[in-house]
Amino acid sequence: MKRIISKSINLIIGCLVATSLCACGGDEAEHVDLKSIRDCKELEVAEFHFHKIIVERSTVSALGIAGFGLASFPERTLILPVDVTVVGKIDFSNVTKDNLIHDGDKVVFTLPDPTLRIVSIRPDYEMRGKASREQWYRGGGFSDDEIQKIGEQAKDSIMIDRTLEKMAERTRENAASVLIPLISLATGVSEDKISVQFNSDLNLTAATLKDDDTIIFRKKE
Amino acid sequence: MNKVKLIFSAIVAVVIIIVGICVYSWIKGVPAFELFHQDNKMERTATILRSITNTHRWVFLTIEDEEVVVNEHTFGNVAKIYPSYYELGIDVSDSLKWVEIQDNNGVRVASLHLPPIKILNENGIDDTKVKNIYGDADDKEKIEMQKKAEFKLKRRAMSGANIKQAKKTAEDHFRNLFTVLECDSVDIKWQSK
Repeated sequence: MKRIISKSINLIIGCLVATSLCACGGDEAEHVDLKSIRDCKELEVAEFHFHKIIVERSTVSALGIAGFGLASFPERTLILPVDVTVVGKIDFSNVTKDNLIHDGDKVVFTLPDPTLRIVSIRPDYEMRGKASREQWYRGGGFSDDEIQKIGEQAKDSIMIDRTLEKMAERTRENAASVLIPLISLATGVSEDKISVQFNSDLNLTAATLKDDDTIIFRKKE
Repeated sequence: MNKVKLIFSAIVAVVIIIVGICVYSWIKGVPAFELFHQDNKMERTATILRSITNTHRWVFLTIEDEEVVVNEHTFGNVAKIYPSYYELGIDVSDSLKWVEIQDNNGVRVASLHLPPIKILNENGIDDTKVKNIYGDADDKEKIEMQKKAEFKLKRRAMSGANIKQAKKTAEDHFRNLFTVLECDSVDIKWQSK
């Protein structure tokens, strides 16, 4: 019996030592982001203001066995309004003389593809305090993980085909209404003889959300 | 002897039940035994497009930055990191009064009176990317700390060097654009504040 006990203790100590050795890692390489200041030549022509109410229900189970709780109670019903702002814009970095074409007495200006960017996600914490119900010990606000989840849900709610298509089309319309008077003034051609066109090979219902919250539309396949 | 057999059978039964629970939990991917378990479910709700604002803003410089804010309390401080993304440029939403074209015997000269460079996006801090380092803050304190971070971040964004860089990019851009629009020369002046 004594042998079994001492062998068990040795095994446990050995496991603890092995675990601590595995946990020791080298220093992480320092990441230097070179994109912190960036020149750009972008025209922002539309701001889209979205409103979403996030509802989350949390329950706590006590004395759980294999996923079944013997006693459960509602811990928190969260109602959090979130305002999301998306900007529609055109990047003029690669505009050249080839973008302007004379077609008889008419002028056609080809614009680059519209892009979108999620510029602001603002939870309404005041309304959350009034509208939510939570247990007495749960107060104090959100954890980083919860806030990140809220942000992800807010972004996911924007990345819907019909919504993206509407925003892209409105960005194009606004760009045309902003630029036609400017082109008319600069070229001396009357506004009714100026048209603005975009690439027709863009799929306005298929877009990718990048890490910097920019939404880029994909080309048609 | 019967008592020993009974106790032994009971122990075997308990061990079988425990092993059964562990195997079931492993298959289902849930913990075998838990004192407390929290289950969070987010409901699907509609996203409403409340309004669309037409804008005419030219962005020439973007700045990503971050600021650490520490609030001191008697019983433990609170520290957070606030990342920001600010856009510097000009807002010409009012009209085309900033552009004047003169035609001197077929030579088209564009004279631009550009408004001052400013921060175009007031909400440059994404609330969902703020990192908590230590301590807890209630909603009121969070707002106060965010305002402190915003003040410093905006001040750094609007540094002399950044404004100068934004102006340079603006001038390069408009010279190119009005040349594309068939102006023979482009003269740029900046409005004072």
